[in-house]
Amino acid sequence: MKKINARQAYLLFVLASLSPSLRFTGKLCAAYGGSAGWVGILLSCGAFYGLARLLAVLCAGGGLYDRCRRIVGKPAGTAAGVVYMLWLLLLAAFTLRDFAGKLAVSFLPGPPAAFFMVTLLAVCFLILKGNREHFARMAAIGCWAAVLAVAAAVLLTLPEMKIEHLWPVTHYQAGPILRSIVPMLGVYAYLTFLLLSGGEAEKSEELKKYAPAATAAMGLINIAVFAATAGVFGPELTQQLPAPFYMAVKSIRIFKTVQRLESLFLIFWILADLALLVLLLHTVLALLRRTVRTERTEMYAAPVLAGVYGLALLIAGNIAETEEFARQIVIPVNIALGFGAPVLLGIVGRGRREMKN
Amino acid sequence: MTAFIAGVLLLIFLDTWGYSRGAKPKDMAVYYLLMGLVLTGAAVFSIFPELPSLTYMLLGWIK
Repeated sequence: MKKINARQAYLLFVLASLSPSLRFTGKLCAAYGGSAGWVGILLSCGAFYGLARLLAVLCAGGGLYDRCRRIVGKPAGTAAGVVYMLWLLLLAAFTLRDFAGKLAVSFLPGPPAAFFMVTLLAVCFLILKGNREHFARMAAIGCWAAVLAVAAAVLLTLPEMKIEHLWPVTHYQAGPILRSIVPMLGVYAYLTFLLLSGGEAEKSEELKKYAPAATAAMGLINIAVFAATAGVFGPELTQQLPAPFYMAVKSIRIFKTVQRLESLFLIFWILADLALLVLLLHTVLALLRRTVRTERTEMYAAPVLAGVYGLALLIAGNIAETEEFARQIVIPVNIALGFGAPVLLGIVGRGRREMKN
Repeated sequence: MTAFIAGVLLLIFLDTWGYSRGAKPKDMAVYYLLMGLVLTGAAVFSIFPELPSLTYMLLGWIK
């Protein structure tokens, strides 16, 4: 598998994380934190920076998966790899189902959800068969374009935004603020999943170097998305809408004439979903390669994608179920595997003198 | 589900045709194992189409 550098890895992560950020993080932060959800997002940036630094240390000299095997031993390390592989398969199926469900119900009613799933999987198939570096370059450009689009959308929703939906924040909201950190941790966990695919192993210093910029980007994007949704609709309504950011973009009117900008914005939404799906599937294939000790991974793309499609059909019957799945299963398991496991690995590694930094 | 199984079979045929030359027996064995798992899953769910969704089962199990 071709290697990508740390800068490309972070840009791919930021682009991929836009997918959960736009789909459900804003509404979950509004549900848990109310009008003070943005403070929770701000506080969660500290946790992201800590995770990025820890992963940079863990990736030094061989990559995250190899370091895990050295610290906990080969059998336990391989078992952990299999657990991650199965979870990422389920996560990819969930991403595909959520993408297709929301597209079919909210944005482009008409074709069945399976049509959108098969189309996205066909593009994934071509990307997985191709060069990972080429996709990372495309994702780097796509990331900048998507961030600019989100920034433009947020600026254009400013006239609709009401400050009383976001302010004042008082010390009585400390509990909700802490609870609103939780969904953000579930999104940051995707960085661990990305680095598990390897390739950034020799770039530990670069991972450290770009960590502050990535932290700032994640904080700004998520706060902007929260402000554009909860600021426009209020936290109570935001948590009930199926796709609040999309609805906020839909409400944009420039000089009361130019409207329906959501069609343009949808491009970046789909691009973010594609990036997330490819990120997860690249890691699944990389873990599969390590587990079965083979050099040829591209030949496993077809069975893995067929499995993801089958799981996506099975995972949920409607949008309400995918939202429940995100809230009750995806976020807790993501935090356990993407946050808890690296922290535990760091502690055990230090105890066993496997960590140099 | 019938269309899904037909699609997977077609994919197996085309993909195997492309990869069977030059691939190691172990790689092909893993490939067939994965395809077998997918097909078994598809067959199970076509025999029992009324099975509830995975979310329904998992959330029921958690509660």
